[in-house]
Amino acid sequence: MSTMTMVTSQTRYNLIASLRSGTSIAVGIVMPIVFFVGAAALFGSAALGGDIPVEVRGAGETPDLRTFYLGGFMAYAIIYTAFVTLLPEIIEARESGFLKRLHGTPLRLATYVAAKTLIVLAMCVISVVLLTLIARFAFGVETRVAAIGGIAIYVALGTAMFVCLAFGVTSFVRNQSGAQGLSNALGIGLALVSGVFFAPSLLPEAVQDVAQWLPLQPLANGFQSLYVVGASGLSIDLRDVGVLVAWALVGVLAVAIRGFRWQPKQHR
Amino acid sequence: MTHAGGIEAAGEGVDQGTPAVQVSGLRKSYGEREVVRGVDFEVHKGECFGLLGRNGAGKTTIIEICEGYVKLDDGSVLVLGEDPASPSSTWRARLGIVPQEMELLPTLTVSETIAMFRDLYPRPRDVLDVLQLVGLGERGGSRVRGLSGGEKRRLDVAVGLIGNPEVLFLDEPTTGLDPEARRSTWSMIEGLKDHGVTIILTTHYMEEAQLLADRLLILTEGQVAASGTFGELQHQHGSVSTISFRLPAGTETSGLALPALKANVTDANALEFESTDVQSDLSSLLDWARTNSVEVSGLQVARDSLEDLFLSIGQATGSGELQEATR
Repeated sequence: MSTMTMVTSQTRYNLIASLRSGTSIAVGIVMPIVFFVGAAALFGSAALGGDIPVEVRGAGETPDLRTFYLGGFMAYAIIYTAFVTLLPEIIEARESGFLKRLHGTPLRLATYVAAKTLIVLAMCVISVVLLTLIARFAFGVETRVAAIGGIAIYVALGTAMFVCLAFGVTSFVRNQSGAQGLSNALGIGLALVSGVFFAPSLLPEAVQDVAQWLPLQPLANGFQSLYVVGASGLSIDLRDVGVLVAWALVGVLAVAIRGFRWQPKQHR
Repeated sequence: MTHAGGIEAAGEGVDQGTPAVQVSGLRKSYGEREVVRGVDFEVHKGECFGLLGRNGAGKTTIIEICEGYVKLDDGSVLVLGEDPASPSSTWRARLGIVPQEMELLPTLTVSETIAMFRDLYPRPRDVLDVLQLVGLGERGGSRVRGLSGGEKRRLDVAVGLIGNPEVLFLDEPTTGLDPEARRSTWSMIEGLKDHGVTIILTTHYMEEAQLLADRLLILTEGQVAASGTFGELQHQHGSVSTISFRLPAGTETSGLALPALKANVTDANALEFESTDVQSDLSSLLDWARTNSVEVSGLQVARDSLEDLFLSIGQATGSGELQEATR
């Protein structure tokens, strides 16, 4: 079998399994949409003062809170699909012995990672497209045609980065409950400081200073900067892109140094 | 695919005399406990090699070292001429693995599961053929989650077979199967032997080992307690046969020069004794009967089963818990 056939096959069957279990759709697609609709409808409404512009670091201001939320929840959907759901999935596959069984075949790690990445990427694309459409038709948030390229770049980069990080931290996680705890803590913790639920400017400056170097804030900031008043063209923020690439490398390095364990902990 | 065909032909051209598995001086410890303590054996191409021993004797550790899952501490292991510690994809493609416990994706169907593994091998077997071979031909559309224990076990075997392996590791393949399914698994394994697949089998069912394995190795506490064909094991371990027969009521047996009669004689006329030299004991019995004009009926000679042998080897090496392993 060629590597391409293996990637296609692994993608196909892992996707079927994932869709049937439903968790990834609930967490990666339904939840971000529900949260976005809730936040945009409540806090983003004109009645609650949602018409105020919100500052986006290094880019300008979004016209209103609803637009700011759209960018934030795109990033939220990506971390929840590509990290918060993925990490426990990998750990469960490892601790149940499924990965051990796969490792007994000619399958290589790169093929497995590629298949997982493709599945996660597909989910993220669906999530972001739905968010964009709902924002357009329910809240009147326009997406510029030129910004679509920028969105695509951030979706691809953000997904790849969080997949790298998820594989990178597996060697530090012992079991399924550890994976659940870690991924949820990181997911909610990062979302709180990264301009998903509210503007970063509401946070203490020290927190803002740190958050802009963590993985999620640059991604949210990247999406949001595509929607600032007067934005034109791709308007990619090279610093944000640099931080995302750096975190992806951290994940790759972690796998390179600590290795990837296919087998459950020995019970002996 | 002419290229792949060429490789295959070249692979088979490698001298058939090279053993499929060569293990020498193998040692492995987990923490303080040394579970494999200097084991040597060879598995020839095309044979079924039975690895026996009670729980904790080191069977699974040895198998997992051969499969490339566990690193050895000392000694050397070659499987199909390669060191399992640095496994290549082409090497993995030639092995089939049926571990003791295996998790699959519960939401996939049986057919999907086999197809997923099929796609990982360069020269796989046909999904439907393999399902029929293991007796799951009717269950292809069922979810893995809904399978019974025995069906699950047969799916494990199917996953091990789908890559069309040259060497197949079967770690307790029939545990949890009902007698009928066990018998059909046996005939499947015999079919694989006929196709030249080398099989390394561990089992707790002695009848299974006796029936399937061309050669056996019995492990006790990480060491080889005995090895050879079943016949050789019987010979090495001074195997005992049981001779039983009936005599007419009231027969005087004082003149019968035979080894000690067994205590558990069912009634006065049914006699049973253990013999280490069946030929001479039988002829002295029949000579005595002819001389005294006694009619001997229901004459039976039973040789030790592998289970008896297994238990006696276990006792000889001082392990009293062997019975547990045969349950």
